[in-house]
Amino acid sequence: MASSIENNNEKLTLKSSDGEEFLVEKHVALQSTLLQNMLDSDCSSADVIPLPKIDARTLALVLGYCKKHADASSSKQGELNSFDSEFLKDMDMGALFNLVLAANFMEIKGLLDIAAQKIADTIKDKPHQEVREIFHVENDYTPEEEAAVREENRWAFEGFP
Amino acid sequence: MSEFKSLPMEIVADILIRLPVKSLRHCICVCKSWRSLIADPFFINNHLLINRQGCSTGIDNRRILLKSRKAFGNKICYSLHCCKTFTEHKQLKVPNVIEGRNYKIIASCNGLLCLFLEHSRVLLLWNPSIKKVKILPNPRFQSCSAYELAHGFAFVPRANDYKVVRLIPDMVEGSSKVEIYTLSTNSWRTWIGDGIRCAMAHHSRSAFVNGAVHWTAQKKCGNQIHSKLIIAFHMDDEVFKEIPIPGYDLPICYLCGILSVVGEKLAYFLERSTIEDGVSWDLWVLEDYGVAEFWTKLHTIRLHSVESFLYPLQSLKNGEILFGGLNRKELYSFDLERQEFKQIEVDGASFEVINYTESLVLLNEGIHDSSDAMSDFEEKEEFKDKEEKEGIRVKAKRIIKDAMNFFKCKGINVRV
Repeated sequence: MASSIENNNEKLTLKSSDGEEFLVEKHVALQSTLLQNMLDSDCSSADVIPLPKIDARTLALVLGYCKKHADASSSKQGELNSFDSEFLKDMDMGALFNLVLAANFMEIKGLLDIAAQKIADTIKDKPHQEVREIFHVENDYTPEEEAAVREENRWAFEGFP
Repeated sequence: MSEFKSLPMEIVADILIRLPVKSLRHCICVCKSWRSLIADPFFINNHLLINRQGCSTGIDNRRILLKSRKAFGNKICYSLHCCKTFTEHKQLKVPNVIEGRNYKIIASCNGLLCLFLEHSRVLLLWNPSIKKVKILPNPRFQSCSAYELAHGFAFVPRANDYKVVRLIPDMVEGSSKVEIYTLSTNSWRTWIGDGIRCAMAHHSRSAFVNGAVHWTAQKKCGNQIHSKLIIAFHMDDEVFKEIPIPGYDLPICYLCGILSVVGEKLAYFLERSTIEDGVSWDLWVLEDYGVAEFWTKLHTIRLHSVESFLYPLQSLKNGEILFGGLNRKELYSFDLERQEFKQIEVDGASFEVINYTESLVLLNEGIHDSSDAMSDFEEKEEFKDKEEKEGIRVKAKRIIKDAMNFFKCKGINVRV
């Protein structure tokens, strides 16, 4: 077991929800706690590992992130930080949501943090109606309830319609 | 645009916890499940922890809260400032219940301020970030002078609760009465134990460190001599302890001491005045708290460079110490390493400074600062007035009775 981890050239295959296969170096895959646990517990690296919740586009992004972070372990933190902000820069909300879901499923703490932070920064100054649309959340307040809860939080609406 | 998937609540929580307090108040209006998520005490605690660390979200949410008296109309203002550059972040609205009244800030923790209204003796908690106020119920014991009272306020992590401690010196019995308020029960209870036999130093500032509130106090030695000491009350264990003030070769009556916290240690600033040096403050810190405590003198801060009398206000997280003066615009930061003062560009006078983090604490409690709060409060104040008059009457009766007994003993006949 220990010897297989030491072998850096070893690769494994991940399969996305839409059937695309990705060949990944083991040390890159180890950025994911989920994959690490699978490999630790006897799962043969020869098998194809299916990731039924993650589409090919998202998986490619996730693996790009993992590769950079796995290879950069000895390089400077500043370089990684600028990679992270560049990585998410022009991503739309749908892609960000897929990324945060994938990071959560694959247990990649660093990616989950930056994606969640990016979403938080985007909604920070938005009115609640717009936040509702972004998150596709159904408004389950009755008009009276909504008026009451708005009144309760009235001061937060200074400068909002 | 990718195909949309809705996020499970645990991820929504992970996103929302990174938002500032004001944005969260918007998010409460999104839907019912978001509202219950944000109002959950677990979420409120975690939000506070993340904000206090500051680093994990990439944005430093630690602020300095500045209370100042403005030049025109003597109005009290509160503002939040960046803890590094001191640039003003925003102005805070003063709640109606304290506007125009005399009060003292007892302490601040987790985004809450504990205030004591000197006239009515009402205690209240105020969260300026969510504009909520909680007026504490009436304590059990009263005292004839507000100046004799000492208060402490802190969060007790083990009990996951906020406590206010109140010391009422009893001039007749000699030992103090102590009562404790807990936010979770919203009630006062009497502390049972050996009281402390000393008087609190008037206007003494309290300092919270190592889980205990500290006050400067005076102890009667024999008949007249009052020796100064520090009284500590551990807010979790609820035990008192005495700590001597830093040893000094000058007679104590010449010294003015201010309790503080510097670098997470109990600190004592001692004012000293000599012909050669002028006025200076010696900064002492208590090492090995609770083990083999001893005071170390860290610095002597000389005031000759500023040509004005300054007193220490608060030590900041970056190691600087803020000083205030008696005149307008006198707010200075002192760099301990470079040993120099730097004036901070801010208007006002009578500054008070608090290390502050915005929080949602009191979201599920207390009242909004509205007219309802006002009428509730005024009722309470009226009640206090009545109670106070009653208290004075009882006291006067007792004094007369004591005097009568005294004269009787001496064989003198007096009629009232």
